Amino acid sequence: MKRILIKTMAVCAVGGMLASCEKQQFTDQRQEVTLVEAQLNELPPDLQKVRDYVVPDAIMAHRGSTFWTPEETEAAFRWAREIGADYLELDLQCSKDGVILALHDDNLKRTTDIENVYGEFIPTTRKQYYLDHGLTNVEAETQLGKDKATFIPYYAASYMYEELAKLDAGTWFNIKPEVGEPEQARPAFGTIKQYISTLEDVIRIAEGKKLKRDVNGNREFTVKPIDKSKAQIDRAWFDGSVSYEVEYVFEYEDEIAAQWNGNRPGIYPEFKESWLNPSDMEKRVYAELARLHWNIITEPASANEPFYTGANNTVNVGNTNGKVVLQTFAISSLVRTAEVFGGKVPMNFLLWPNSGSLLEGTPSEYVSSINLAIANKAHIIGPSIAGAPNNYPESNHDWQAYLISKAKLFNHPYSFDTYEQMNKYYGVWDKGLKTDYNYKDADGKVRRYIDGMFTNHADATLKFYHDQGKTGKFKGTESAQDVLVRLGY
Amino acid sequence: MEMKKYIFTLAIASVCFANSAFAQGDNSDPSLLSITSEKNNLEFTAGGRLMSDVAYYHSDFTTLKSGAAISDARIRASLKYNKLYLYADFDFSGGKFAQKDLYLRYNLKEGGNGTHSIKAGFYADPASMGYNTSRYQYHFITRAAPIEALVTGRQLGATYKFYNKYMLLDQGIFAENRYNNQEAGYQGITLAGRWVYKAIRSDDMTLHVGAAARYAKMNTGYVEKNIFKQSQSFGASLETSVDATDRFLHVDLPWASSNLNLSGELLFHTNKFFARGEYLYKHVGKTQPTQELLEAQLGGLWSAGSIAAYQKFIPYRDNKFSGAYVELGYLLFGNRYSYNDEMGVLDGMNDDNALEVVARYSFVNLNDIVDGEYFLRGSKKFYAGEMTSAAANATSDPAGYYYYMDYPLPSTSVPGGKAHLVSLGLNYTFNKYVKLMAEYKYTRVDHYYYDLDKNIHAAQLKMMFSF
Repeated sequence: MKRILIKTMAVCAVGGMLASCEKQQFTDQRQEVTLVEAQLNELPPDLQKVRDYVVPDAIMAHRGSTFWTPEETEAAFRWAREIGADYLELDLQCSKDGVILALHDDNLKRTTDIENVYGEFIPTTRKQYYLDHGLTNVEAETQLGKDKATFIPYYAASYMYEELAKLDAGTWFNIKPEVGEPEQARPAFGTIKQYISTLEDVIRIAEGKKLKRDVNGNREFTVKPIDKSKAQIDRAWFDGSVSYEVEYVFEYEDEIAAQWNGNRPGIYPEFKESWLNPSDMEKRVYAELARLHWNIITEPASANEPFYTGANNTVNVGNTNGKVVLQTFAISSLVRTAEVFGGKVPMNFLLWPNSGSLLEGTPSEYVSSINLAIANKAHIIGPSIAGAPNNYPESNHDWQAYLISKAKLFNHPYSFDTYEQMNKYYGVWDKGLKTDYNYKDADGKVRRYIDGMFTNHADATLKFYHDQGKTGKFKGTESAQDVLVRLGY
Repeated sequence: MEMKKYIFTLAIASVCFANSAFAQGDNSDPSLLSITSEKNNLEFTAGGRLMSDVAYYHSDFTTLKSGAAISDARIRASLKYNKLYLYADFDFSGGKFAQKDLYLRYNLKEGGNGTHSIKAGFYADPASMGYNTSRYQYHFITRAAPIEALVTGRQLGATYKFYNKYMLLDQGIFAENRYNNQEAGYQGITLAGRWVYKAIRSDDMTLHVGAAARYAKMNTGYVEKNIFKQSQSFGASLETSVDATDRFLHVDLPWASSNLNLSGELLFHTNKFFARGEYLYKHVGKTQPTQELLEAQLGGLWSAGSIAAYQKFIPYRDNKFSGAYVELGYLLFGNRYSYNDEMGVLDGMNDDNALEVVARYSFVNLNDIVDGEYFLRGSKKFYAGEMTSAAANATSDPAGYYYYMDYPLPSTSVPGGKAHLVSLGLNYTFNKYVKLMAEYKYTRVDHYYYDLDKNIHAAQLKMMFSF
C-alpha cells in the first residue's frame, strides 16, 4: 500500500511537470501585447471628434526649429510659419509678473546672455520696476524684500518680463560653446534682437504678424499700473513666493507682403513641470487663448474650415478648430488640463521612458499610460523616438504605435532631426518586415501608425510627406536658408 | 578554497558516519554520531543535514525558474556537559558559508516543576512558533510565507526560558547586528518573548495557545552627505526553495527605525491529527531627519523652502503588514504525532515508514496602500493628489478626478504585494534520517507591479537527509 502511494506521488509529480505547458512569454513583448490588449481602453466617440480637429500628418515645428534658428524666438517661429509647418511648437512658462512665456529650459543660461546682464543677483532695477508701476516706496521696499528672500538665479519665474526683455535670446545660437560657430549662424540673429517669446508673440506670428520695434530695434510694449486688488501669482509650494500680476500691452505689426506667404499655422503649446509654474497655469492659458481669440471653446471655428487653401495649399490650420493642440509630460498638468479644457481642445500626453509616465516601456506599462491619457481626456500620445542627435530612449516601437492606434488616439512622436528617422518611423523601411502592427492609412497605404512629427527640420518633414504622396500639404519651393534670407536674417 | 574546506568537512563527517556507534535513544534526534562519556557526564554529537528540492512552476506570465536545487546543506555539533549545552550549526548550501545557530545553554534548574534555563549566542529569537520549528521537523516543504516575510530570524542575544507541562515562557534581549559591522550607528536593541499556555497536555493530545511579541529599536545604517540613513527590506518566496525569488512579496522601507511584531498562535494535536496556526502583525516605525534633509536639498530650483513644504510633499509614515497561516495534518501510517515541551512546538514525523497528508492555507499582505492614491503601471509609482471639483460627483474612474502630483511625489503607499497560498502535501518518512515530501501549491498573487500574474501553480518534491 505504502509503495503504491509513493509511486503514485512520484508519477503524479513527474507527470504533472511534463503535462503542464507554461507560457514563458515575458521575453517577447509582442506576446505580452496580446495579453494586455484587452486592458486597453478606447477613446470615446466625443473625444474622437475633437481628435479629428488636428490636421492629418501634422508637422510640428519643434521650438520653431532648434537646427536653423535660435529656439522659440521670433526668428524661429517666423521661419516655421513660412516654411510650411502646420504647428508652431512651444513650451509654456511664466514670468514673475504673470506673462506667459514660450521658453523651454528652466534655466536661462543656455539660451540667453543672462549671466552677463544680471549674474546671480536680483536685477538692480527691481525696486524701480515697482515704483514705475504704481507701488509706493514702502510697498516697493516690502515687495523687494520678499523677492530677495525667494530669488532663484536664472530661473525665468524669478524675473519680471520687463527684465527678461533686456536679455538677448539670439546671439548664443551663433557661438555655441560645444561646436564653436555653427554652420547655421547668422549675424542677424544678433543684430535683430531676439527676445524670449511670449505666448502672444507666437500667436501673433501665426497670424502673419511680427514684433513691432522702435527705431533702435527694441520691441514696443507698455505696462499697465499694478492693480493691487488683482489676484497674485501663487508659484506653487517650493518657495512660497507671490507676485503681483501685471498687464502688458505688446505691440505687433503686419508682415510685409514679401515676408508672409499667407500661411496661418496653429500652435502646439506644452505645459511644463507644474511645480515650476503657478498652480493655476492651465487656467491662465485658457484665459489668454480666449483673450487672443484662439480658444475654440469660447470661439469655435467653422467646422468646414479647411486645413489648407488655394493652389499652393497655404496652411490654414490656425483658422480651424485644430488651431491649438495642448501637450504635457506632467501627470499633474494632464489632470488639470482635463478639468480646465474638458477634453474640448486636442491634448497630447507625452511619454518619456525611464522616468515620468513610462518606466520600462513594457506593453503592460504602455497600456496603463494610454489608459491614463484617455481617462484624462487626452486625444494624442507623444512617444519619444530613438536616433541621433538626441538619442532619446525608444517609446515608439511598432507594437507601441499599434496600441496607440488600437486605442484610437493619434500618434505624434518627438523629435525628428533626420530624414532617416522619418523613413523609419513612418514605416517606409518596413518592406519585407510587415507585422500585425502595421496600419492602413486613408490612402490605403500600409505603414507604421503615425499621425504627425515634432521636427526640428520642418523643411525636411514637409519634403518627406510630399515624397510619400501627400500632395495636399503646403507646396513650398524655398529652401530653409532662402526663407531665412527672405525674412531678413 | 572554501569549497574544499566544506568537502573535507563532509568527508570527515562521512567517515564518522560509517564508523561511529549509533545512538538512537532520542527518537527525534537524528544525529548518527554520538560519543558519550558517562565517567565525565559528557555527550558529544555531530551530524549533518541535506535538503534537495525539485519544483515545476506554471505561472500566468512572469516565469519562475523550474528545476532542482540544494536548499539546505549543514553540519552541526553539540556538546552536553552536566547542565551545560553547546550547539553549533553551519550552512554551506549555494556554495556559501552561513552561520546558523551557535549558542550556549545552561539549565539553572531541572525537575518535576519545570526547567529554568538561560541561553546566549546566535539563534532565533522566541517570537514565533513557526520560526522556532526546525525545517527538518516542519511537515511542509517550507515554512509559511508570512513567517518568512514578517519574522526577523536569528539574532545575537540572551534569553531566559521556563517550561513545564503547562506552560512555556521564553523571553530575551538581542542585538541588531551580530557582527557590529554596520557602516554607521550603534547596535540596536530587541526585546522578544513568547508565552504559551497548554490547556491540554498528554502524550495523546495537546492543545496550546500562545502569544509572542517583539520590539526592535534599530539603529544601524550608513551616512550619506552627512545624513544618517536607515532602511529595512524584507519579503518572502512563494513557499518554494527552487526559485526563491521574493519579487512578488517584498518591501523596501527607507527610514525604518523600529519594529513591533505581535502574534497569536494555536496548536492542537492528537495521535493522528494536528492543526496549528499563527496570526502575525508587524508595525514598522520610521524616523526621518527632516531638518538635515531639508538643508541638504536647499539651494536649487527644485528645492522645498521650508520644513512645512518638505514634510507636506515628501512625507513618510509608519507601515503595517500582516499575515496568517493554518496547517493541518493527518497521519495515514505511523505511530503518532508528538509535542516538544522545550520548544513549544509540534515534533516532526520521525516514525519509520510513516505517511501523512498535510494541507496549509497561508496569507500574507505586504501592501500598505493609502486610500485614494492612484497607481500608474507605466511609472510603477503611486500618485497622491487632491480631488478636483469634478470628483465630488464621480462614481467611477477616479484617475480622472484627482490633481495627481508627479513632482514631488508625495505618495506613501508601499506596494509590497499580497498572496494567498494553498498547499496540499504528502510526506513519507523512510526513517528519521530520510524523508520525502511532495506538494502541490496554488498561489493567488496580487501585486501592483505584476498585474499580469494572478495564478501560480507549483509541483514540488523535497528529499531530506539528516544524520
